[in-house]
Amino acid sequence: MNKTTRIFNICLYAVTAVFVCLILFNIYICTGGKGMVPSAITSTYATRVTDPETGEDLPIIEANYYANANHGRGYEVVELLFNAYSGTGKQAIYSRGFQLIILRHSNGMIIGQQLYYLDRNNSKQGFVSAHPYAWGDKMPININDKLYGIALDGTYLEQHWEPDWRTHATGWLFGLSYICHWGGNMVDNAEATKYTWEDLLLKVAEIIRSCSNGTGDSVISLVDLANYLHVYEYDEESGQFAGEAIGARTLQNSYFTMQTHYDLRGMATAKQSMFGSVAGDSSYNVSGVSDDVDYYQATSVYNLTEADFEENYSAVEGGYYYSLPTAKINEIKGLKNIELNITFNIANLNKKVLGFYNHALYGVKVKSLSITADQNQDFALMTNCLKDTGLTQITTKNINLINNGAGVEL
Amino acid sequence: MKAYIKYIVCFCLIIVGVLCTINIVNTFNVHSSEYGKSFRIEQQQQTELSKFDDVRLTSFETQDYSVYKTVTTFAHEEFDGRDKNIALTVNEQPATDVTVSSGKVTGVFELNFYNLDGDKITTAQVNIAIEYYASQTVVTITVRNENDSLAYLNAYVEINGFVLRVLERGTK
Repeated sequence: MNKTTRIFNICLYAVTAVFVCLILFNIYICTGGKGMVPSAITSTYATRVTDPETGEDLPIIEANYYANANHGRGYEVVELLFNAYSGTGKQAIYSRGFQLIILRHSNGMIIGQQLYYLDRNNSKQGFVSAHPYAWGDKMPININDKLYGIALDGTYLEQHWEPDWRTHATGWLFGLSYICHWGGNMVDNAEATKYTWEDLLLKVAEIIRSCSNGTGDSVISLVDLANYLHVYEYDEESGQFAGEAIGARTLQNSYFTMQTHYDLRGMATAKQSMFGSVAGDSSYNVSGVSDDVDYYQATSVYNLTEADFEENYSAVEGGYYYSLPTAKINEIKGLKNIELNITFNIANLNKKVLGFYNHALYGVKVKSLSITADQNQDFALMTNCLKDTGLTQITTKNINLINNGAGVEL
Repeated sequence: MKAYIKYIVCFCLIIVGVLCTINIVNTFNVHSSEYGKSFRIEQQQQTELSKFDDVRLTSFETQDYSVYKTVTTFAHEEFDGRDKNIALTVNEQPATDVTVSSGKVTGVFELNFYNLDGDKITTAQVNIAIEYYASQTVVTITVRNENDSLAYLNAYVEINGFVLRVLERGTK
């Protein structure tokens, strides 16, 4: 062997030795050395998705839980709906999900359950979905105007009892295991078990039941479903979702905001279901209330007066402009199915009223607006004060409206 | 031959070592990150003072055939409505004409019902009175039955329930 070959071999062995050390170190941190790895947390907040057709903001997750706590009419039902894009093109929203009907023994143990895959927007075949989500399917959503996919692909390790070597060696011979108090341990299965949609729905029911919001409609924020649902980044160039969930090497917190309804009664009519169907039957009704009394929509009437407005003093004009407080605007925007009527009576204010301030009612849907005074006066509608309110006319008495860019055609 | 085997083994170990090195680098290069925005508290501050989710609406006493009343009794609750900004909600929808005294809250919950053509069928006006006594709390619901409003209200309650809340708001 000449000198060059000898030097080459020595270098090769040295490099190989270094890489063997790295291999052993890698095995160590993958198995027992987790404590050496720096801790990092990836937090994902998935809240709402915008419908490209209507511009409406929808919650990504809606959930219903009818507990049937009094074991009366109807079923114990958990429903979970995902509002997600139809595809990576974000052209439409699919509102599809699941309904789990639970049968319980009187002692509270679950003795049976049935899962239905439903589509809110498909009334054929009792709203049963023709394209149910499967384990691992990625549902496209938006986070910070970027496309991501969420998928149910969480797994967990079940455990089984494994006898130790002494029990293996002696078996149960002469009861040695019992006498000597050796036996075995609970150890993780070699293969992980996949979380199912039933597991997720039961977890959601538990979250709703234990939330301090109690019964009725509410929004539960910061619901961590990281064990079940993972979030994948979408690569625009390749047109594919990433193969690994974001934060796969870190502690993951996947926070969702759920719009929920919690009812102690059982689900007794299909109208209670967010899908309009119970067990695949869209005409299900054991409530005792006839379907003859039916309506398309019920809206609650909300009346505001001048007392609900806040004033903004104008030193130049020596009077007051009025607008709704931000808190009230946010409250109204958060309400569904309301008819807002505003009666603004200047005589009740005993001040020099100049009009509505900039953005006074901006973005608030108003059914009717009435402005009245005891004596004839001008009332200014300042910039964008009525923009996006849906108003086409204002009822007035002794009022001369001055439109200063109100943002609406009257 | 032995030399070739030696080189092949070293080559394989180097390849595996490179992959393990990449994994080690990725593992130690983790950093915390955040995607999306945490929820923002956009609603005004409010404290729930009372909640009644078992108000009986199925047994109405009749004063006459046009007015129906039901009274439900609950356990005593502490309440003092003086100098407070009180709101009354039914199924998270606000009631109007809310009046508050030391131990009483009243309000009106009005529902309009529409058919498929968008035409209004009827209006149900639910008058609510909550009286906080020393020994009990009494919730009185009065409904005027006009144009089948009671039947539609029953249908609405069957679907949506009737959860009554008394809230103290921090701001107007």
